[in-house]
Amino acid sequence: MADIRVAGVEKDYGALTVLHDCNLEIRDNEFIVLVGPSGSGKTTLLRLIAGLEPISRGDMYFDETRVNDLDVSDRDIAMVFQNYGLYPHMSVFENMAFSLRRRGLDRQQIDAKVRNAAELLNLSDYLQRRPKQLSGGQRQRVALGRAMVRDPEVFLLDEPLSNLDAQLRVQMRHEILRVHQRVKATAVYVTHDQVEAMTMGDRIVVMHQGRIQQVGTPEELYDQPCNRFVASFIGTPAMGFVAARRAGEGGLGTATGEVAISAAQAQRIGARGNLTIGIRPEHITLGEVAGQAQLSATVEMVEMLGAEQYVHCRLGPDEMLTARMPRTAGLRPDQKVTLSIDMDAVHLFDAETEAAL
Amino acid sequence: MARIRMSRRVLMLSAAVFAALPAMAQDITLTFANWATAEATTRDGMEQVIARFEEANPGIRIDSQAIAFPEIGRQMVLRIRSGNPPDVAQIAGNDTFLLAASGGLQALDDYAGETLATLKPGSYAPFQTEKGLVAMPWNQAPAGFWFSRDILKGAGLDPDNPPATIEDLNAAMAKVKEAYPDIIVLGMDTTNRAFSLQSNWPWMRAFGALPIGEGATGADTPEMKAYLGWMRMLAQEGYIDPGRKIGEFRPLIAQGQVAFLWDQVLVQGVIQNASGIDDATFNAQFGVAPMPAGALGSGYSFEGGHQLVMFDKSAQKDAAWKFINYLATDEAAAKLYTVDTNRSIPPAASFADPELAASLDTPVIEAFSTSIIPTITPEPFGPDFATAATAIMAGVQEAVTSDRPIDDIAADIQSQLDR
Amino acid sequence: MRPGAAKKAHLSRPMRGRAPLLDGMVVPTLIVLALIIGYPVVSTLMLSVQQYDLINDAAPSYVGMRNFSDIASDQIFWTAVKNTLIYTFGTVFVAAFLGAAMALMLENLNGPFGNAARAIVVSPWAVPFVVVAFLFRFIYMQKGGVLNAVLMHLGIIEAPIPWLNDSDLALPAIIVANIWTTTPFFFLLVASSLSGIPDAVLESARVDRAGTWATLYHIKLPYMRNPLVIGSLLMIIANFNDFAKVWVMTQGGPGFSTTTLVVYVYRMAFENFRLGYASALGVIWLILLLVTAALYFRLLRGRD
Repeated sequence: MADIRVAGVEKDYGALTVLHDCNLEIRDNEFIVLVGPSGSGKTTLLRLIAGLEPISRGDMYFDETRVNDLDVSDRDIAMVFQNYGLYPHMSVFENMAFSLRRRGLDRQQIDAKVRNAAELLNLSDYLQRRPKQLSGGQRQRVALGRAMVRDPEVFLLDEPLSNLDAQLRVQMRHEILRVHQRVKATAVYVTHDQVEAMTMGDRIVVMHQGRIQQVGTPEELYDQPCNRFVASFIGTPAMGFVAARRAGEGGLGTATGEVAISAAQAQRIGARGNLTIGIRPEHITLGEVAGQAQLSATVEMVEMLGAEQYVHCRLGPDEMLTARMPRTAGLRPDQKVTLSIDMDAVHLFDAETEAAL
Repeated sequence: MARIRMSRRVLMLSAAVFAALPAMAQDITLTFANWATAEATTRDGMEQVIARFEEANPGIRIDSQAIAFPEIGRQMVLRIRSGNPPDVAQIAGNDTFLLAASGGLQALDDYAGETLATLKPGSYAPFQTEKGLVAMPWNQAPAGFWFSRDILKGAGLDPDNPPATIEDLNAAMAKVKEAYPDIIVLGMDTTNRAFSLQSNWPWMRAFGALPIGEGATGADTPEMKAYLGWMRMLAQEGYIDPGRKIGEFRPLIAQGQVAFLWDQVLVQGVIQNASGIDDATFNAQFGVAPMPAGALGSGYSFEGGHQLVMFDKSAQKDAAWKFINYLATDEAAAKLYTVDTNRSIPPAASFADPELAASLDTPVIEAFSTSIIPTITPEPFGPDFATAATAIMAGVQEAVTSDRPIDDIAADIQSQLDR
Repeated sequence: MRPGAAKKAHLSRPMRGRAPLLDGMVVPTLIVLALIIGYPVVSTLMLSVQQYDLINDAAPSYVGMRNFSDIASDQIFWTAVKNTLIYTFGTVFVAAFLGAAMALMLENLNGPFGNAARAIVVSPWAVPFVVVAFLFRFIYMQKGGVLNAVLMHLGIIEAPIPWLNDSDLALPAIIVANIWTTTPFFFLLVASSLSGIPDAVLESARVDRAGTWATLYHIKLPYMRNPLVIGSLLMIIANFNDFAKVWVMTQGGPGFSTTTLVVYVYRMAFENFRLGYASALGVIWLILLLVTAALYFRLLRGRD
């Protein structure tokens, strides 16, 4: 258990700065997820927290102790790597016992700890096997177990599930969370999958191009994204965006129709001439609904999901909106439809800065 | 016009044919395997002699194949066995008898016939075996005990009277070592090859040892052990530089780095070639004497001269004999090569050319002819000699370079000789 | 076969078995190999049970196992075997150790300095072995050799040491020359195996608080083991056959202290011209090598 404070941390590789001004406070016992597309800097930030690489500028504190110059082995952390990093020449038991032996625990203690962890992770039958004799999921659990036995203050996990198939991934998510509850340590989890982030994190840190975009609970990020990137990144299916212009006092003009806005919204927009409207699929209905703004669109693609379907509609050369419809709604590509938008629920963004209004 | 051109062409063609006729007519090429053209000291002289022979015998060309001395025996045996030996070869020491035993040599009695009468009997007698005359003596080069007068003087010894007994030698060497701690006191060949046994055989005889051959007493004898013990003493006192071939000492003595040298008569040629001094200076700086006498009262020497052999597979034996005879008996060749270049003694009993006779009238040759040649002791050459050499010289090397008890070394040598 | 397949079969190559023409193309190479390798081996085996002295004109005569029983009682043979084992294993184990040590030390040294260091370590490999032999012969010369000159100048020794002419020092001296030439091979082998270790494994070790020695012993050594074993086998076989260095430096002397099996065979065959005996020695040598190779392959397979 430890809280971590990242203050103004930046990282350079040669002349290239890959992390800009990162500020973050991670609380004791929290399960925090760093999420973002490839190259957003999330893994770099994780490795800086681990101490595997030096910080270029800024400070990092574990429990208010400055750890910038503290070597990996002196920080009380455990790490699960994307490729597991299991020792191929050792058995599962040895893999998990390795760090304990380094610390000088006696044989009984090591034995007890390892077997405990193994039982928790259903590895008891595999203790004598070598990593290459295990499946991906089993190796993943060994990596977890190896981290667990160390009883660290901080767990760091670098995209541990990205090498597993979809079903296994869901299963392992639960395992990890279960372990986290048992073990009670701070966990920092890196993933590129926003669904994983949303389902696992107490709080989520969205990163993009080396900067922290927004930090918050899943609900906060979903309901109140601070900019267009966060809004488009979080949520499945993704939010759709429509360009709009001020048209008179209470309205906005779009390419395919006029929509009415409330006074509060008008105030937020202020003097801006151009803006972007962000609309979540659940706020779109196909067909004309009285009292709601109407936009016309052409169906481009229908994705069948089982109980429901996603209808992707094109409004303009760069504008697509996705609606969720029950499977029975018989829609076909190239069909012209009218979309009713619940304007109370839409998000508004500045057209240039992309910040939320 | 065409006709004129045609006949001009015919003319030119016939001219070419006629010019080539002498060359085409009778060109015999003799292959001559030798080490004379492989060594810097003797290369020029040898090539000049060959050129003179070719001039005097226009139909014969000599293809000289330079082969290093340590290799020539081995190569000749292999070539005999594989069916492509040369016509003539320069050969010496045990290798001569090795080749004879292999059965690949042409007996020279019919060719040599009357020529033998003009040679010193001692020069060709060793080569008359039951197979006939297997080799023609080319030169005589016995080994003598060379000494540097300057070094002797510097060590407080008489520069004109080198030690006459081995005991005197031991004392003299101690004095030399004291006066000149950095030079090689006694130069001897202690490598492990047949030539080495040949070279050290007289020393063994001086101690009374007779490890192989007729009347041999073996290697496990007090005499042999005395010899081995003496060799060990030489090494421990730092008098000798073990493991070196005899050839390596010759340039060193020319530089004044060696006090006593057990080497053949040709050393004079090497020294004068290397340092460019004339005969008078040479005789003032160096001298040669018989080997110091051993406990039994005698010193010995060995015949290290070279011979010429003809191979019985040769297709041009007459031409080959012409060449052999020329090298061995022609006085101009003897003067140019045998005496001036190789500094050895031609086998002829007398010389018509007064210059040649005079050039053989030097203090060094005098010493060899009167005092040293009479001490030459026969050696049991032959195939077994080479095998025995391996065993005996390995033992000598062991005595010289390790601390193993002499008794054990002698016993080892004997057990190998018995195989 | 499915109905359509029957129709297709005659249009394409038969699936089972392969095209005989392509197999046949290997035959000329096999013939050449059989001649170059097979003929001498068979010939040696045949000569080993005969008495064949190249000197006399006598034809080779069959003598059964007499050559072999002579070898058993031949003192020099056993010395030669001992020298060969010392020479071979001494070289390989020390060179493997040094090569591995240098690979580990230079592993993390980068930039121009690291590249220069690596080039220096590898350079002896580029020197032809005959040149190595002569080079060290000159270094070891009692009078005028670099080694004695340096040692005397530094005051470590007082009088020049006869490195190649002392029965006890000659073999170690040659072994040192051989180590010099063999270490780069192991250096390259180990360096490449080290660079193949996944970063995640090394970082896990760091996180697990493994220090330099623990990482070396538990993590790196297992990666180095297989290449080292294979490399050692190759070098053992190569050194078993090493003639040039020994012959140029000492011709197997002084005495027989540096006579290895190869040198002994050469002496027997080309100085004493006893081809039958030499062939018998060759057969024994071949058997020793085959046994070594078999042992190693067993070891290799066991480890996997």
